[in-house]
Amino acid sequence: MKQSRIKNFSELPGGSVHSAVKRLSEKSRNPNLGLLFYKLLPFWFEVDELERGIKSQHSAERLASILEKVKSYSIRLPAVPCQKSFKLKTAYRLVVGMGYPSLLENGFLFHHTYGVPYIDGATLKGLARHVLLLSIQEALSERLGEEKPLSEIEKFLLSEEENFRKHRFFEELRNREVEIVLSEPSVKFKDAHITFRKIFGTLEKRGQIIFYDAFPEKFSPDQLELDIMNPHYSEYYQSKGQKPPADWQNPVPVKFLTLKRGVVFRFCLDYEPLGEQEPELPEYAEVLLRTGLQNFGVGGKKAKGYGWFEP
Amino acid sequence: MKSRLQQVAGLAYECVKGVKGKGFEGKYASHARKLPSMIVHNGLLTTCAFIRAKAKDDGWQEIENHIKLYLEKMEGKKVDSLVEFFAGLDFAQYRLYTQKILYFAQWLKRLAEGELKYEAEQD
Repeated sequence: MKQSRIKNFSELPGGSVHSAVKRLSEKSRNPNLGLLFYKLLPFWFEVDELERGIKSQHSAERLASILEKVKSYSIRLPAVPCQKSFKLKTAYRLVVGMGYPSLLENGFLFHHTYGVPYIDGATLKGLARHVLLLSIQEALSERLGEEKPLSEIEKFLLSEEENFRKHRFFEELRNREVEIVLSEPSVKFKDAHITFRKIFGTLEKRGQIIFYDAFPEKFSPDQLELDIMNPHYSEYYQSKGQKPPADWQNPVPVKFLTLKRGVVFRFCLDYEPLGEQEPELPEYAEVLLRTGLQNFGVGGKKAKGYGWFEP
Repeated sequence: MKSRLQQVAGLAYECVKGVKGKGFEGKYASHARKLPSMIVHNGLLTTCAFIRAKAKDDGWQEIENHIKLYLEKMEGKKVDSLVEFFAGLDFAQYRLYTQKILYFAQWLKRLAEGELKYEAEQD
């Protein structure tokens, strides 16, 4: 059957907005899952069952049944030309964007245009930055014989050029090597504090490396699955500890969307177009990002093992 | 004669003032703050359905009342169920109402930020 494309709103099938979208979305065989998840899910319900349906459980179940139907298609995203790219596989479930407003109790990050899950570039940059920050903290603490708080080190790293060079940490780190924490095999950076400023930038100067959004190499809806969290002592949490966390409280299952284990993501790094192009920087950035992804992970529920990657 | 902007802002101010000092002030403030982004992100109908599903929370209930009040005062529409009302519109109307409610919601957010005390978000 040939599907005709709709050019503007006035061509949409007549009647109410609800019935028209319902008919359209039921016909579509490869919907944009982002659009479906954020905006169109309620249109799968009849108007009179909407209120009941919108409660997280019902809409989660409806979502699962829709995913069943659309399983067959897959999207292969073209590789972006860039200085450095590498692939890693999710080692457990991944859930990014849980705090996003959504009809289900918990959100999920879909790309607005492509409708595929992705990891925001800023998240990746922050992760890589954190790894280097920790490594510098480790090296400094060892040298000075006392633990320095991250906030103090961060302040030093972001300070103005003049203050930066005058700071006592500057001399401590100069011409010495800093081992990147948890890197395997172990990697050492010389002048890590200067590298930090080059890669990630300071308050005055932007960084020289771009961290692109990371997309799955190949995406198909069957890579998504519903997961469940089941707080047993909801009254205890809601009353902020006023009521005891006792066994007579009912568990409240909350379903949320996740990406399955074993999805390959491609991570891309490039030079900032107006910055200096120092060839070692993308390599450094790759080490940091890899280390971060394999040891800390991204997204929600990291403490429960979500969101980390294996090579 | 008042401009439309004055009317909407005035109505939003009345709404927010009415919440002040009530038990659900903090909840209302944090919900009002989220409302515009929810409408943009999830669509008007979805947002209204979400509000309905959460209506046992006083804060959400009050927001629903305020949207209804807006429809009554500004549009001359007395509406029992927001979900039913918005679902039954045609596309052009639905988009128009989305813009209007969004504008009103932005006023609610702005005024709630200025006038009300927040409560730390639980979820």
